[in-house]
Amino acid sequence: MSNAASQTGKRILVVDDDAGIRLLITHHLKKRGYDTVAAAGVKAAEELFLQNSQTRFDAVVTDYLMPDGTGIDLLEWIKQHDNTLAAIFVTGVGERDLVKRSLRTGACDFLDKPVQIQLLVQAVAEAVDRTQRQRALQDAESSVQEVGRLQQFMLGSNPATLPGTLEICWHPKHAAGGDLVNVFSLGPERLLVVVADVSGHDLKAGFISAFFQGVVRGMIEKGTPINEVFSYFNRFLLREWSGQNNPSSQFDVSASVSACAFDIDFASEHFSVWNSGFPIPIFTDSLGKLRRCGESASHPLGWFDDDSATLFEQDVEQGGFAYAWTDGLEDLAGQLEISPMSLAESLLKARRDGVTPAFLKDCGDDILVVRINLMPKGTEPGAFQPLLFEEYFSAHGPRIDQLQSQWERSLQTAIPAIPESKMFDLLLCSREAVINGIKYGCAANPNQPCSYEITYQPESQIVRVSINDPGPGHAFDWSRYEKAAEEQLLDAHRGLILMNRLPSRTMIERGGASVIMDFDLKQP
Amino acid sequence: MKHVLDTSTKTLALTFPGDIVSTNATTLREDVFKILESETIVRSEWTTLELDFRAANMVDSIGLNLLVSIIKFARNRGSKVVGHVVNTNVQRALCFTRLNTQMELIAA
Repeated sequence: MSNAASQTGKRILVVDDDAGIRLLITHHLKKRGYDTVAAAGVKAAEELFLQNSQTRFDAVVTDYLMPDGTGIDLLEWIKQHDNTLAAIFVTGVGERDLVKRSLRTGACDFLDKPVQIQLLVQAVAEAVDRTQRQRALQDAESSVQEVGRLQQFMLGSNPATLPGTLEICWHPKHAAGGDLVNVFSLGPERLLVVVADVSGHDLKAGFISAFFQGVVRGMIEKGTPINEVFSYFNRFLLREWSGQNNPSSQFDVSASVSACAFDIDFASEHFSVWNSGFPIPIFTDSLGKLRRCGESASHPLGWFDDDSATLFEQDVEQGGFAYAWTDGLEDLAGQLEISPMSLAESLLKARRDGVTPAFLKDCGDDILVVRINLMPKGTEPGAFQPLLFEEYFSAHGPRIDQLQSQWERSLQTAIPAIPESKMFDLLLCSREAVINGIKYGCAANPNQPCSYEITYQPESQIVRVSINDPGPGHAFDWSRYEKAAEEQLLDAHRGLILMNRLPSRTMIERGGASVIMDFDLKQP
Repeated sequence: MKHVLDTSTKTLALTFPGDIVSTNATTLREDVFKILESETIVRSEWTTLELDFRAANMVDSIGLNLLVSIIKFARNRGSKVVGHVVNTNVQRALCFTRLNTQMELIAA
């Protein structure tokens, strides 16, 4: 039971049409230090509630049956104005069950008439505690949401003076999280984009994220190269925040940060990517050719002493896009059994359209997707968007049906309006090309994969499929073979005929070891 | 694989249960030729082979090659081949590979 001193100043609304009971309750509560306000009915209580809106009540004690309404009516009205206020019902014989059945506004306590003072005092003290806990929770939620809004603001900033454009899509699991994007102008035609994911997806991650951003910003402003910033922060996490490496530390933060930085030089048409534990970004050039920005994985900052950051460098003569996403996107893509790239494009488009896709409700982690236009500002984009990038070996052959289903789901996610006939053509030709690549290309060079890529150019509505196998290819006269296949009923190479006929354009290189097929979605 | 021999019209009908693709073509080939080479069918006087692939939503090149083998088998017996197809995409694949010139295609 709370003592009188602790309840000083706590305000209790007492509502009962019986003046005797009102007086009894208020008298005993006042004796214990409560500040009481009494009302003789529902309407009077509502008026008092509004008059006292500046100094909130801490609990309400109400009768059930009153001439102008019931305690339930009052409680439902109060919840619309303050959903944290705890209530106590004073009920006569047989009323308690009725109130319990009728109550839609959450938990409350009950006291039987005639009121026993000891029980009343105990119930009021508990109700006051309940109200305070609810209010503390609400304040904390409100603070977290404010942090989340601040993060949204920080993520969305893209200063007009920067010589490139950035598209960002962020879906935190909770109101705040640890994903971040920072953009720095390193000169009139040079841009640094830092994308990172702090372990965890809560307020702690949000705080560490803010700390990391402050460190990065300060060091970049002083001219420190980004790889040295990463190296410094790795040492900092290990030596100052990790209780494991610092036994004298009172508090083990044990944070890790997966980070990746794009240093883009528009003047020399070149960009480099430093990566520490971040999912390997993707680059797509103006012709729809995909490239991974690095081949080997690296450790996040805060794991090990050695600097394992990887460096990738790429010329971008005709422009293109770079994509980076946090592992939350890869997890969701795995759940949906689709390509992360298709999911990324779908999320970016949904953000542009101002909609939230239904499948995000299944997401178990924060998701951040960043798309960087590598052409100088003002240049028409026109580049291909990556939708799928896979590598297959001989062992994938028997799984071709599952692969085909994954391609189909990925395309439907990224281009929901794709005509059914185009989907059929694309899947059939892809199936033929991948089987050929695995069967002949990988057989000739078993340790090398057959790559399969799908890209999409929205302006022209062309879906481009590229298959490259490691084999030598072989000379093949398509038109001569097609005629012979018809006339002599040859039972081979019909897949090549389909690949030549169904796409709107088919380009062959290296004796068929490299095939590019365009599917024009505008064509009937 | 379902098959029906109608002696009154001298027609043998083979019904494919679904897609005809690389992953099931070997099994389908075994099933089809087990029927075609069975004693009853060999001895029967059928002059038309009806291939029902109305349940197929996809026929890939390995599937097309199986159809070519079946057409050749029927031709060697002097029988004509009729194909029943529903899916317009499958029909297009048959036409692009000119198999519509080797059998009568009926769009159901």
